[in-house]
Amino acid sequence: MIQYSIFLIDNSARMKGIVFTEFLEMVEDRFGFSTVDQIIEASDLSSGGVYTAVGTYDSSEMFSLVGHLSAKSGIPVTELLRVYGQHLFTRFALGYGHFFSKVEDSFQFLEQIENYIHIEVRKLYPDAELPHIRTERVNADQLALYYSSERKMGHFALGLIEGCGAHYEENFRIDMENIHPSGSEVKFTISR
Amino acid sequence: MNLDEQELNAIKRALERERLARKQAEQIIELKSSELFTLNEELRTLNGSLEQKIRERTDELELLNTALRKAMVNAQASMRAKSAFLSTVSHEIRTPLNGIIGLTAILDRKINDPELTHIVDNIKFSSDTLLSLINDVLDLSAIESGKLKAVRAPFDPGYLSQRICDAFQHRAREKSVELVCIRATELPSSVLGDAAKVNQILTNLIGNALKFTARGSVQFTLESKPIRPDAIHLVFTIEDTGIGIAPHRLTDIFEEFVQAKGSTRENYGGSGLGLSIVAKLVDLLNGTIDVQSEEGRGSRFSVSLPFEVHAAERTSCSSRASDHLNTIKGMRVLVAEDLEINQYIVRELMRDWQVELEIAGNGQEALDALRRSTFDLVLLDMHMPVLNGLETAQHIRSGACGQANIPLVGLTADVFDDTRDALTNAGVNEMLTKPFNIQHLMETLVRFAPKHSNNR
Repeated sequence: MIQYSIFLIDNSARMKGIVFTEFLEMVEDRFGFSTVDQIIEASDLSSGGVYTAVGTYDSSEMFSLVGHLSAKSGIPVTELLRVYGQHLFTRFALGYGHFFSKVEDSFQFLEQIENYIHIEVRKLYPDAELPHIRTERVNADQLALYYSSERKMGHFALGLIEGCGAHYEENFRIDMENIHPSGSEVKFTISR
Repeated sequence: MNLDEQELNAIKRALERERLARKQAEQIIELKSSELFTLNEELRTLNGSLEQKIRERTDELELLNTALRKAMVNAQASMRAKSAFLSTVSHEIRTPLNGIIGLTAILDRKINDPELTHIVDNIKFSSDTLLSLINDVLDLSAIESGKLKAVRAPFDPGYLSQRICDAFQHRAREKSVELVCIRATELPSSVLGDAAKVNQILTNLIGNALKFTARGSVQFTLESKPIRPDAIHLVFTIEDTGIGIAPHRLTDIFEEFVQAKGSTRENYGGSGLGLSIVAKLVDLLNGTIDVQSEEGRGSRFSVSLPFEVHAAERTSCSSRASDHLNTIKGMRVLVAEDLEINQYIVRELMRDWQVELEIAGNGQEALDALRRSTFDLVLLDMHMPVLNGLETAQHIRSGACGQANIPLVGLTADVFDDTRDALTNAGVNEMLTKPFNIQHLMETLVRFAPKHSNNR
């Protein structure tokens, strides 16, 4: 079984409904509603594929959906996660505008993930397991971002970083380098 | 638009899922709402009980506060009562002590047997010690009750320090300690201030220095530092080569009943009140006191007191005892005193001094005596039956028996300033505190001796 999981997972391996609804919306946008229907039908889901953003669901359902989408589309799971990261960033920018109000550029935004955004997330979801993010400004146009999480979702993080660059209309060149072979620690070198 | 059946079914399923999701969301929200409502209720209840608890606690605190305030008032009252008791007892002790000291002085003049003289010396020493202890207690309670005020009268600081030094020379010689007195040359001849309190401060400090110095010297220095053209600081420095004080004790030696070492009392005696009185008197006179000391090497106390310079000419000072005797010889003195012991003491002293004396047993008898004959001076005891000193003074000043302007000297064991104020207002010229020092009594007589009486 593919041991990929996704952010906002609580300790009992339950996942916030918004992860499902946003994922399925993206699938619908990019692959059409019939693909959504197919991967739901193909997966054996105890929820029956009925998700609401305010509910919580077993995280295995997400693995199942991503697995079936990869099988159907021939796109690797890592790439799907990256695309989902990009999509989710645009959704965040729409839904949580106040995080962006005083931030002038992408580097500034990335630099305050750990000490601002994650703190705000924990206020709403005390159980959320969030990755540890550390940044280093190499120079005005180069930033090193260190990702560290047992969920090993570096590609999802990559998608989010790309989404951030797109949001600020900056051209990013991103080098991704596993510091730990398992992918639990990843260094992103972002140049603009 | 044509949809094939497969697509239609997919849409139907999607629609069904959306409907179910909406219902699920509605359910979840309902559940959350009711949870929130319950939580809110709990919060409100908690809030209410919290307020109740705060009220209860506040009430408790207020009760406690009231009790504390009451306890404090009681404690203060009890402290005042104890202080008053101590003061009364001390006064009561001074009266018989007056008798002992006076009689001892007379006895001393009457005997020649060295063994008896030795015994009398010891009686003198013991009663003097007792007197100074009682004086300390009285001074302290007077200072603490706020009854003591600084008076402003002209005095010659140089002469005062000389007199104090002279008074201690005997004791210094007895201990084989050198007492060096140094007076700066630029001292003003007269300043306005409370000479008696300055005297008390210096007597305490020099007495202490001698007490705690077994060999070497005690040096007493008086300097004057100008503040303004008409005001100066007098700086009195007493430096000894005695036992010294440990650094960590320097801060609390001015506390009551504190002596630098627990063993000090055993070795040197004393009440532990001396420095406390000094500190309070210095404070009363708006001065400062500073102490430096090294254990085993000695101590240095420095007192700085502000004074106004008095423009008057130098008061005539040192006269020798023989001159004094000459001055008061043949003076006519009326003494109003009810206690027989005191009458006896005064009579004996005056006879030695060849002063013509008449004794009245109370104020009324004194008034009668004044009507019959003339006097140069009246010594008035304050506590007398029939007519007390204060009333007698008022009668005399009213002119009821002639000689309304005769000098009046009050005799009292009461050191408090308000008593003194009352007597001054009644027209009493001067006060002698009992038990009086023979020297002081003589000096008082000298001051009021009529000019022409010199070679009568």
